[in-house]
Amino acid sequence: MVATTTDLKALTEVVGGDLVDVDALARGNQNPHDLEVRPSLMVKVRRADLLVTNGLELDQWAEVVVQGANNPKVIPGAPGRIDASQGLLVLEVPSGRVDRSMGDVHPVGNPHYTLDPGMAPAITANILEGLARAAPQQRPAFEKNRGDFLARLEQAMPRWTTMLAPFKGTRVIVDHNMWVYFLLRFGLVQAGSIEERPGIPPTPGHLTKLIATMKDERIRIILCAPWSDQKLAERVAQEAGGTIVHMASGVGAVKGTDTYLEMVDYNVQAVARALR
Amino acid sequence: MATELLALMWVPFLMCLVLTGIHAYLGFHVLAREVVFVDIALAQLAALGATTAFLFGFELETWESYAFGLTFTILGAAVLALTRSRRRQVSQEAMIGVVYAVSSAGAVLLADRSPHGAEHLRGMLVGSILSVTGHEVLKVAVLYAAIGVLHWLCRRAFFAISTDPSLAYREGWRVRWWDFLFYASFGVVVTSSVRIAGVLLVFSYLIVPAMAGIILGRRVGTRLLIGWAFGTAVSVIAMVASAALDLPTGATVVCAFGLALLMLGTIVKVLRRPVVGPQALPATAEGTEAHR
Repeated sequence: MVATTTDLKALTEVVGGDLVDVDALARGNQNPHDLEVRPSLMVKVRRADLLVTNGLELDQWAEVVVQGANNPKVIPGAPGRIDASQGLLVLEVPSGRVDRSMGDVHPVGNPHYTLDPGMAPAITANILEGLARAAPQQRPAFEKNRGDFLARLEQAMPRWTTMLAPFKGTRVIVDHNMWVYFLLRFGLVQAGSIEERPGIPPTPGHLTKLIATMKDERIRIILCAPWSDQKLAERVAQEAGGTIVHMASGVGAVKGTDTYLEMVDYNVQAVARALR
Repeated sequence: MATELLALMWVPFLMCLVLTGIHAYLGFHVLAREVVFVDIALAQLAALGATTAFLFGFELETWESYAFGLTFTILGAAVLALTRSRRRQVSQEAMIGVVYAVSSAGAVLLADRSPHGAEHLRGMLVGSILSVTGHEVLKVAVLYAAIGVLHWLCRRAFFAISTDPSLAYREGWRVRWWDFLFYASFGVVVTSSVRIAGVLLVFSYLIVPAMAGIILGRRVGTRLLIGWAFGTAVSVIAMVASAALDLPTGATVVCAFGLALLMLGTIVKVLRRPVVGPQALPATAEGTEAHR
């Protein structure tokens, strides 16, 4: 089976265990919004029984792959199609008019929910339902796997929360508006983003305001994904007297983040280290 | 707010001045050779080089990345020098077009294999002039000054082969060799500029100030001064516009060049239009009679 992102692949493997063979379409350190669709991706989807998508219009590019793959099991609405975002509490649903002039803003809400470990129970529940639909006799095995994972998650959460507890309420800057779920979970506040309109280079006016905000509010860190403009972030950090924190934007984005729990662990530790 | 904007933009502005300095001069050669697209092709080759380096894990700031870009550009320069047919059977523009297309597509293929390919490609097109550091400006300024000295020393040869190659051949200049040297030095400039300013900005700085110089001036020296003045003026206006109107800087500068050229062309056309009135005609007829 196939998942669109490495996060979803990791979470599917958690639920499926040895019973599933999952491939991810995107790489961990890639920008998940837009991918050049290659024939090999279509071949992967063609051979798949199930497709796990992020939904909330993050992996629109996957639709192209699905069309090209011509696999009736995974077209939208088919039983082999799993939308990991179903029923999730979505943040930042826009209330006003939304169009392309705002850059590639997320029209149905912020789709980067996989970065928040608190969302994992709901995500894995969706995946479980999908897997059980395809292999009902294996449902008990899937439920056990999910249970084991959630137990490990329950052990890890207090550890992470304690690590970031001293910094509750700290304001941070981000490179792209993808960290809201993560920040909210651990009590941090997003004070601004380098990329004001996603996909469009930031204007000098915006950067100046951001630098001023950082100086006024003594914001010390900028969270950066591996695929963002590091040079610009460094320039902003330099002007404002802050530092960049290299975050894992997905499973496998950075060395040492090969499982979901490792990825969250890496991010939490990176932020805690930077704020100390 | 204005002082903070200034603090952010004065280094990028210095970079624009450095770009104006060398590119305006090189642009005259490019226009004289009537190979306007050569710089965009070589710039794209430099971008392809950087993209290839990316694939091997070398980020834009490393010397390895620079070496890749330079190698690709020099190879392209060699190809262009070799294919400059004496008899101009096939327009060299066709060859240049192919180089540009292939290197652009090549970059897309390579970028797909590397971690942040799409962003990198976009960066190479519009550049990232806002994030340039003072250190980089200094390095580039020194390099371009050295190249300027080289061109000053070889000015006779370079101008001969650019403006009248057939005459240069007859006068005994080894045109192919001088061609290669020109394109190689040109390639170094373009490689360095592209990683900071992007392909479109480099193209604009190369072509538009030189065009302004040619429209407004006659002698080489005057044209160069006009080109520099034009380039500086447009850079200032574009930077101010980017700050005041809250627009992305790189794209604003490119559009500013376009607009400025349009305005210049319109003004010049309007001013140079001869006034045709009733008095003019008899004088002309008399003149024609006298010549018979």
